[in-house]
Amino acid sequence: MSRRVKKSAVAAGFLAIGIAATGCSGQSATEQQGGGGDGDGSGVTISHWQHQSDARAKIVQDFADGYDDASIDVQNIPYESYFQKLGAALEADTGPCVFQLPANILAEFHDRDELAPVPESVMSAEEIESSFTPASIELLNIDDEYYALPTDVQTLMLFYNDDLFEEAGLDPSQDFETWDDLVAAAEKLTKTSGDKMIQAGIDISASPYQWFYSAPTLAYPEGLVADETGDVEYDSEPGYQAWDRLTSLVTDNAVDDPEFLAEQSKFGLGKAGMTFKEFTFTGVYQLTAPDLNFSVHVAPPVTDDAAAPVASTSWSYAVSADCEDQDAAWEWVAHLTSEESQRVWIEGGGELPSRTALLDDESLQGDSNIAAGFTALAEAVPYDSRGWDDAYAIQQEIWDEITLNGTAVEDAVDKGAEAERELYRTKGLLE
Amino acid sequence: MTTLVERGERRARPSRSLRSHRTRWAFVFLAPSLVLFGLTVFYPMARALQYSLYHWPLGSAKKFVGLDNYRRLLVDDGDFRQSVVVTLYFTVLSVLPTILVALFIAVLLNDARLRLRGLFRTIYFVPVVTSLVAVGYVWRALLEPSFGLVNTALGWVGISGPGWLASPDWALEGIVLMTVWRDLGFYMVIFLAGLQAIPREILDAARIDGAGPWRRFRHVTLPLLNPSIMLAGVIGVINGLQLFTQVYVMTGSAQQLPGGPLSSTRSVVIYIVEQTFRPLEMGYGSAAAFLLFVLIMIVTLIQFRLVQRRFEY
Repeated sequence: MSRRVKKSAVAAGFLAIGIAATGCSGQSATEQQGGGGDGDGSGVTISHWQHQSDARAKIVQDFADGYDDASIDVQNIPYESYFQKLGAALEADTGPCVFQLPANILAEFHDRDELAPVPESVMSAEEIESSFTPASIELLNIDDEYYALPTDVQTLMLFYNDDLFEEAGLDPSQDFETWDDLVAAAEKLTKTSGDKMIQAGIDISASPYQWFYSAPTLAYPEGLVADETGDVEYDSEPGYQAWDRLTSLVTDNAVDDPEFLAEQSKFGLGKAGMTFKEFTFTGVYQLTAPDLNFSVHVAPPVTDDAAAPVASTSWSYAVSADCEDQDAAWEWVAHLTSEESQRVWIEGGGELPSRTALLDDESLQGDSNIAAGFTALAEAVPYDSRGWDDAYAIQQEIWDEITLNGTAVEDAVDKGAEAERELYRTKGLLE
Repeated sequence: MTTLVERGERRARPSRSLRSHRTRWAFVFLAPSLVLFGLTVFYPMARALQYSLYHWPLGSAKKFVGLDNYRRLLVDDGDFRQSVVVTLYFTVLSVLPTILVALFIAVLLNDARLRLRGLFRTIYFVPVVTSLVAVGYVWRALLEPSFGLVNTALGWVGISGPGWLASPDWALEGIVLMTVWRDLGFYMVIFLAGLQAIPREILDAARIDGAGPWRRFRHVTLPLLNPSIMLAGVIGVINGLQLFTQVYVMTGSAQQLPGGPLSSTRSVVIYIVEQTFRPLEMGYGSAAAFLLFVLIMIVTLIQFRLVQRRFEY
C-alpha cells in the first residue's frame, strides 16, 4: 500500500473520530447555565425557553437586552416541537432554567419533580395572592406553594361582526342574556344559497375548542376537574347539557357547516356573524382583517345555572428544579411578570394583565373591546383540565364524534371523559 | 448466450493475502460512513428497541414491562389497529394508480415520434422537486369544499363535490389524490430509464414476428420492465407505509391536530408521534415504531417474493 493511501486512511480515521466526537458533544444544563459570554458582568447566564410567537419573542428579547442582573439566553421554539424539546431536554438535564408552561399542566411537571417553587425572597405566597388575579394563579399553587408566575392570560370572549349584526337587524352593542338568544341571533345571521351555506351564524366548526374548554368548565363550581378527587366531571349533568348545546349549533341549528370554508377563519373573512375566541384575537383581527368591524362581548351561559360567566386560559413562567442559580432565575421571572413589564405585554402582545393593580387602570383600556376583556377577567375562572394537546385531542374527538359521526351526546362524552381519566392515570395524576 | 467470462479472458484469482489486504483497506475507507451510520441509525434503533420494553413517561423512572407495550398495541389498542388500516389503505390506494399512470405516461413519453418530449418530462417531474409541505398547502386550498378549485371544476360538469379534507369519508382520498399527482413524475423517470434499457433488437424481432403494439408491450416490454416495476413498487410501498408529511400538512393546523377528521387520516407514523410526544411516553411510541418496522419488512419481503422474477430473451 502506498504512503498516499496510508495517509488517506489515517485522515479517514480522524474524520470518523471527529464525527463521533461531534455526535457526543451534548451540553449539560450546568454548562448551559453557567456558560460565559454574558455582557452584564454578573457572571450568571439564565437560559429561557418559550414557544415561538413573533410578538412575544420581540418583547422578551427587549426585556432580556435591557436586563442588568444576569445575561438572558432566550430561545424561541416553534410551538409544534416545543413540548417535545422541553420534555426531552429536562429529562436529559440539558433543559433551560426558565421555561413557559400552560398553567393547567404545571401539576404534571411538578409531579415529575422538575419545578422549583417561588422563593420567599422573590415573592411570598401572600404577595402573589394580593398581586395577581385569582384566575391567573389558581393553578400555580400546588401543595400550598407557588411553582410559577402567570403570563399570557386570555379570557374566552364572544366576537360580533357588527356590520353583519346590523344588516340582520340585531344590536351589536348588547350582550346576549340567554343561550336561546344567541342561537336565535345565529340563525338570523346564517345565509344559504340553495343547499350551500354562504354565511355562518357562528364560526365554530374550524375551531370549536374555545367553546368546549369554556362551557364544561363554567358548568361546575369547581371547574372541569373536581378539586377533591382530581377527576373530570363533565360526564354528568350539566356537562352533557353543555356538549349538547354546543354541538347542536352544527347538528340541529345549522348555524355553521364543517364543509363551508373548511378550516378557514370565516369570521376573519367576514363570512360569519360571530366567533368565540381568546381575547388576543382582538389584535389578530386588527392585523389580519383591518376592515373587519367587530366588538367583543361576554358570551351567555351555555348551561342552566352556570357557576361562572367567563373562562380563561393562561401560561406561566416556571424555573427548573435543576437550575443552578434559581434565585437569579426567579428574579428574571419576577421582572417579566412585574407591573411595569405587564404594561409592555399589554401594549405589544395583545394580552390581559394578571396584576390586579392594572385591571382598573383606564389608561390601558383604549377602546370598548379592551375594556370588555379587562372587565371579564375580574370574574374569570381558569380552564383546568390536567392535559394540554393530549386532553384537547380527546375533547376534539368528542366534538367530531357528535358533529361528524352522529354519535349520541352522552355516549361520546362518556367515552371522552373515560379517555381523559385514563390520560390522567397515565401521567400519575389520578389513582 | 455466452458471457464475457465464458468467452475467455478469465482473470487470475487474487491471492488470499491480497484479498485480505484489500478487505482490510476497504473497511478503513468505509469506516467514516460506518461510524456515522452506526451513530445516527443503528444506535438510536437499538435504544428505541430497548425503550420499547419499558414504561417510561418522561420525568419518571423507567419501569421494565417486557413485551407488554407490544401486547397492548396489538390486543388492546383499537386506535393503533385503525391507524394500521388507514396506512395500508392509503398505500394500496396511492401506489397502484401512481405506478399504472406513471407507466402509461412513461410509455407515451418514450415514443421517439412525440415532439417536445423533454418539455413534457420536465413538466411531469416538477412536482417531485417541489417541497412536499408547499404542495400540501396548495392542495389543501384546492380541495377546500366550498370554494376550492377541485369542487368548482366538478361543479362545472354537474357533480357536487365531496367535503374532501373536512369529511371523514373523503379526507384520505384527498391525500391520495395529492400523493398520486406528486409522485407521478418520480415513477415516470424510473420507468423511462427502464424502457430505454430494453434492447431495440428484441422489440424489432417481435415486430418482425408479427406482434402488434399491445402484444409487444404485454409480452416484451412489460416483462423486461419488471426490475423497474419492482423498484417502483418497493419504494412506493415503503413511502406509503411511512405516510406522515401529507397528513401533517393537509389535516393539521393551529386549531386542529393532524390525523382527522375523526382519525380518518391518522397513519401509523402520526400515531407514533402522538403517542410519544403528546404524553411524552417513550416506551409505547418506541414499541409502535418497531411494529411499523416489522410491518414494512414483511410487506417488502412479500413484494420481493411475488414480483421479483427474471425474464431473459
